[in-house]
Amino acid sequence: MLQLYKLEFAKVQWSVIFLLIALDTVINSGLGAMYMESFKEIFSPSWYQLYNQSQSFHTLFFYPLYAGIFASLICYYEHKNNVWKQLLSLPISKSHLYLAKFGMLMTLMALVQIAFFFAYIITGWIIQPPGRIAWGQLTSYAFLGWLSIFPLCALQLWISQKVKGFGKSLVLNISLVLPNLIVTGMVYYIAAWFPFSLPFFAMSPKAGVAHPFDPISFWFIVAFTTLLYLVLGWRIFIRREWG
Amino acid sequence: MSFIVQTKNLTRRFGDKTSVNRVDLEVPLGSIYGFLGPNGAGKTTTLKMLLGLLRPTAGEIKIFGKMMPEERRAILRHTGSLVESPSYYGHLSGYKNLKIFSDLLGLSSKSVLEILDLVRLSKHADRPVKEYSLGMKQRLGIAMALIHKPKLLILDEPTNGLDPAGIQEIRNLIKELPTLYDSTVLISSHLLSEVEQIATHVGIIHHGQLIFQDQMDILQQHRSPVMYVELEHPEEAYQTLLGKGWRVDIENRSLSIPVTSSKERARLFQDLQPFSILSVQEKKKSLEEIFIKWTGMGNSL
Repeated sequence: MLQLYKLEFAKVQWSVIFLLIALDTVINSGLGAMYMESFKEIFSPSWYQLYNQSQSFHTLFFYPLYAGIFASLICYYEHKNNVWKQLLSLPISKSHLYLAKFGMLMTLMALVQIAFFFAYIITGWIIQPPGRIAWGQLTSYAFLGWLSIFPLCALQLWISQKVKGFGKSLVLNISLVLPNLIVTGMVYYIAAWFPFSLPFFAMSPKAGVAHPFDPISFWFIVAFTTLLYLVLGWRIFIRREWG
Repeated sequence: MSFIVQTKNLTRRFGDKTSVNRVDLEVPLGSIYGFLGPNGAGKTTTLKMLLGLLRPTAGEIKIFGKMMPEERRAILRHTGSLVESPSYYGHLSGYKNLKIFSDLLGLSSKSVLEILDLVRLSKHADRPVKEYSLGMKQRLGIAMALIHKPKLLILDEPTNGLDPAGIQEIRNLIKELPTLYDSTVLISSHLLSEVEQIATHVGIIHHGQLIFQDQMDILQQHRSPVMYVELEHPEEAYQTLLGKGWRVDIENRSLSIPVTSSKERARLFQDLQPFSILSVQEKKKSLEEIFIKWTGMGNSL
């Protein structure tokens, strides 16, 4: 299993991963700094305000989109020259292979998250907003944001092992991420069933402002849907035929 | 006799089409088993079931005496395969591709270098595989199949897309395998000429059914050659041969006579000597002709 996880590291095209991570960090830090500047009459600039302005595009768009892109990327190499067939002719466990892929996806999503928060701190360090960094709060946003992406990653891996074309899954991903603006406006216990919306509820200070928010039932939905999608995707994977 | 691969009533249906129909495959230990059949006869489907990539609709598969798919991993540990076109990570080098597979099999880096040497890819080991020629990709595929010195090697049309030199090379390699690694080889092909040069045993599949399975020698007997003899005086020769009890046909200036042994051939030449032989050609039945004979179907291919 560890060997299979290492294999994922060996074959993924890191240049693509780093480019996408760089895009996420540069765009969102830049937007954050810009918005804070434009809205300074309404919201007085602070470390908190910088986070608030940086996170919205990341949580609503980039982070859920990347879950889909990375999921199709880590299945792309197997689809391309039908390496599935060769891999599954080896004495490896299908379940381990599936879990290794899920582990790889979660690792990449952790990297995105770390890079995003790192970029936020660097941006703040450059523009020096008043106030202090709320380290505890930030760490919890980063970690909970990562946890909240689990159901989406489980769902995306399920889809990616089926959908062969990279372009096809990209279109699918973008069209599913776009309604996020509307979905996240709904009350959490409805929105949380739509896995694209979860990072917003876990990472945005704006979540729970318009509607009441109950963390326990929210995280219950996250845990439940993670297991549901993971088990369904895994069952389909191990029963699949490689014709 | 012990069989490395043994199937009973192996059947696979896709929708209402039966691709593999009650096949009892028996591959003896240490043999090179040629699995023959025209395209679409069910060869690849059968091989994929042996590897656990497809599930049988009915019947059972035993490899090394173990059941597939129940003991899939134990079987695959000692099985190497190249089915359909070779699979590879195109953006990685040949070396890295093999390293990935050797790591998953728990082998040393030395085994990668050895196998690269065996398939003569050492010089190109550091180039990305997507730049390889078809023949090189095919050799890489064979390297992947051989890297763990498998007891059973399953090759599906391994010379597809290779040039004559490449075909010869692969053929020699396959011939060596039983002595080199103690392997049993199961190799599929749609060309009888291809298989007869290397195989010790043959199975012929047609429309999903195994219509012949035995030693190569036995198949050879079914392929009694026909002599085509061109003569100065074909008419006279024709009459004489008929008189001596030969089964002979005449066409233009040449006679065709089936012979079953070299003794018979010698006798034929003796009988023809007075009629000035201009040329002699010996032709064997092709796979297609054998099919037509055995299945009674002219246009089935």
